[in-house]
Amino acid sequence: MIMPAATLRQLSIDEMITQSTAIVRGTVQAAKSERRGSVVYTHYRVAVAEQWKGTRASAADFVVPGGVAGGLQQSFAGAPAFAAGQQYILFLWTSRSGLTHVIGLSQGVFKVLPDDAGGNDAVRAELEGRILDAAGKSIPPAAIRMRVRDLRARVLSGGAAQQ
Amino acid sequence: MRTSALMRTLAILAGCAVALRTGSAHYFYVHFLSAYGYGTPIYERFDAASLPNNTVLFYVADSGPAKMAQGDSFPALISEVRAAAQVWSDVPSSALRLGYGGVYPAGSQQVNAGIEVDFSDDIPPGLLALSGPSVRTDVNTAGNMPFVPIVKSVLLLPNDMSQMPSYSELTFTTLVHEFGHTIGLQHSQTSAVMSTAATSASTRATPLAADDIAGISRLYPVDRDTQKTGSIAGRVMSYGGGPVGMASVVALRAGVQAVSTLTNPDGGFQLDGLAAGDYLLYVHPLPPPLEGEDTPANIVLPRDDKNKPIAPAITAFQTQFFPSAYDQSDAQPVTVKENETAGDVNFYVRPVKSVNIHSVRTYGYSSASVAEASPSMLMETGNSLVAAGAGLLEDVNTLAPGLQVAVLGHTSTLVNLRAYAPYNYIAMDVYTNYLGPAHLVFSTPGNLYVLPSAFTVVSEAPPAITSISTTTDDAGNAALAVYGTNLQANNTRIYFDGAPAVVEGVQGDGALVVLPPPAPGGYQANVVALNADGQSSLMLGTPVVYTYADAPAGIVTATPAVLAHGDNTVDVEGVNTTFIDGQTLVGFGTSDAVVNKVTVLSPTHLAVDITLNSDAQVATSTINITTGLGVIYSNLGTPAVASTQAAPASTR
Repeated sequence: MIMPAATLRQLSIDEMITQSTAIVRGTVQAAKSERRGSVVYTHYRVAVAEQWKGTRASAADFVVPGGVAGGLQQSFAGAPAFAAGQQYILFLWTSRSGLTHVIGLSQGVFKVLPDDAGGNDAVRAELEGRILDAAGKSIPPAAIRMRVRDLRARVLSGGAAQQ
Repeated sequence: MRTSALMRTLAILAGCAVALRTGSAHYFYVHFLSAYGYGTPIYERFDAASLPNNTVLFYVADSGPAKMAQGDSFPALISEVRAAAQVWSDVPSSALRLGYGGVYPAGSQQVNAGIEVDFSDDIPPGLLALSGPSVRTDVNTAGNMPFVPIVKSVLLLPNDMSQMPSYSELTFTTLVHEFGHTIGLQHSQTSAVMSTAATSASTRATPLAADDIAGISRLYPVDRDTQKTGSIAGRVMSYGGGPVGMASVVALRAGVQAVSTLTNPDGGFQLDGLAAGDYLLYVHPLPPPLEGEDTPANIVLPRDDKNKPIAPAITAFQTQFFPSAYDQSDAQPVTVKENETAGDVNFYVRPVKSVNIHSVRTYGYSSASVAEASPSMLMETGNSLVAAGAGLLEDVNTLAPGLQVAVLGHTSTLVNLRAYAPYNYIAMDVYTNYLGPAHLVFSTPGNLYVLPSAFTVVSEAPPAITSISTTTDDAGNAALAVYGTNLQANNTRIYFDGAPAVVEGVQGDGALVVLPPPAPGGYQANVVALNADGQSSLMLGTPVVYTYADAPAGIVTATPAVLAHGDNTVDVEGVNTTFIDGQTLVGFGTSDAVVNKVTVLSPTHLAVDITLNSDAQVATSTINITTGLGVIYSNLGTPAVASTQAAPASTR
């Protein structure tokens, strides 16, 4: 559903903070694709500038479904694409299999943009797709724009980075 | 790599005198090769003609989900998966059929094309399912339309389905949507099951919209003369003179669902699958890309010879009706005739800096006071409707200046249009004097937005099931009496965990008399009622559970124990089984074993003719026997017992 080639369930900021295993602010670098079982994943590396949750590291790897590997191209509409050199705030989640994903496809992706006061805003447009609440009912999507420092404070109050 | 293979293919195609049929990108996964130009889309799709009986098989991983909702079961989920696939398989104007190939050993490799339904720990929070096609990089030049064959598709469901009961509206429409992706459909903007928007008007009772049917029919066409439909073709150009690619062209009329397509990079389009009649046409830009995405509306962009995405040069323009009308009252209908194409339906659009009204969604409230997208509304009762989307509000308390909302082509009354503070909604009251889908037109000075099937007008409340008891039908057969409200013999379908019951009629006390699908003794089925107006008993709450009477478990033994490459006949002997001609399905859990024929010799005896691919791994041969809700899964030669709550029986 929604469904990007996927169906989304909308997560609140607090749910994303709670359910993420790592939250980082950083710059996305190179990407490569690999097949894992039936699924091709594109692997990204992000140079971490700030680690708001999770084990501190200078870089973090995560995957997005879809890509080209082993002579196969696999397409998942709705999977986010990342621009090398662009700074993001990423809500990441590591599965039991060990792969790290962005929470809820685009839901866990915030672009960092300058605000009017000389600071930075974390911005996420409203989500495309079928958005559902926890009870499975459709609900209106919502854009999010908040100061990076406010988002940082909110994250740290709910899951401080390990030193 | 795709790039080099496509270049090779290009060189081959350049020397071929292939008569290509022009078309439109619709919303498929599309390639454009320079040899053919930007007016000839090359789709990714299964090579239906090469598949036995035009049937692509789907398989369900034998691991099943690790967690399920209370009262749910793996056989129930398999049944719902089968029902969701059947929705696409039942489209008569599509040549593609989907068949159930059984459960497969998770992680096993298959040679032939197929669809794998797997359960994954790698579905992150906030995501319910994930699916997509895989293609190699060569282009099939057979026939008059080259295409890129899908070699395998995957549909991933979460390993933890405790929050996704298999019987629910959500799970079912999700499965139908995801199966759409696996066979090559992308997203549309017309409130269909393939819509990206929460306003998708699809329900479990009526999952496919006209747009979905037109899409799969274009991808897997049958003889057009048998379709009894017509087409509209034209081009979308900007006032500056350039072609406008990936513009969404929509045909609709009052009370009839919309059909849409996306323009090719040269601006051309062709809308197929339209029933004869007059249509209003409009063209609109796709919603702008979102943060974290680089494509409009989450659509995978078409690719060129070098496998590079072809992004449209113009992404923002004013929506307009044909011809050059910015008010629905100025729109002129286009007449569609059977087996004919109405041509030269051209648009000239005005580029703008940004699209001001977009991504509008409507919501109503069911009798349970729960918000429902694209709600069903009772006729003439003064329903409240809310809408959310960009460009409707100036602030939380104030409507956008000049905002007007109207129902396309109807005289229904929308009154008391208002901001719905403190929420970012607008609200209105709706009075109607008609039935069926209603399209809303939102406008402000210089801006226009059309939302197809924004709500559906119905004449009665959803069906409800209150109880189920045993009875006998007129022929003296054991049957069930289903009690409730708004249950009608000629209008209501009853499903037991996705498997249809036979509705025989209505008995004296008003209950529906049904013959339930076969199931093992003690099986607990969630029973739902679906009405033709799109409503279901699930809209009012959780389903009624029916427990089948205790009965001895079925046991089967299938021989030989090992399949040979080539043709085989598998003999299946059962004890306490009820094999039924036409209802008993046999699969071997791999696309490499093609079932040619299942012969029911008796309720306890089957003969199965199969062909094993010469490259198949013989050691993986297993057999699945499914009758109604009964699932038996075993290694060949090993006796297996029917499962009621958890399959495969042999591994749990």
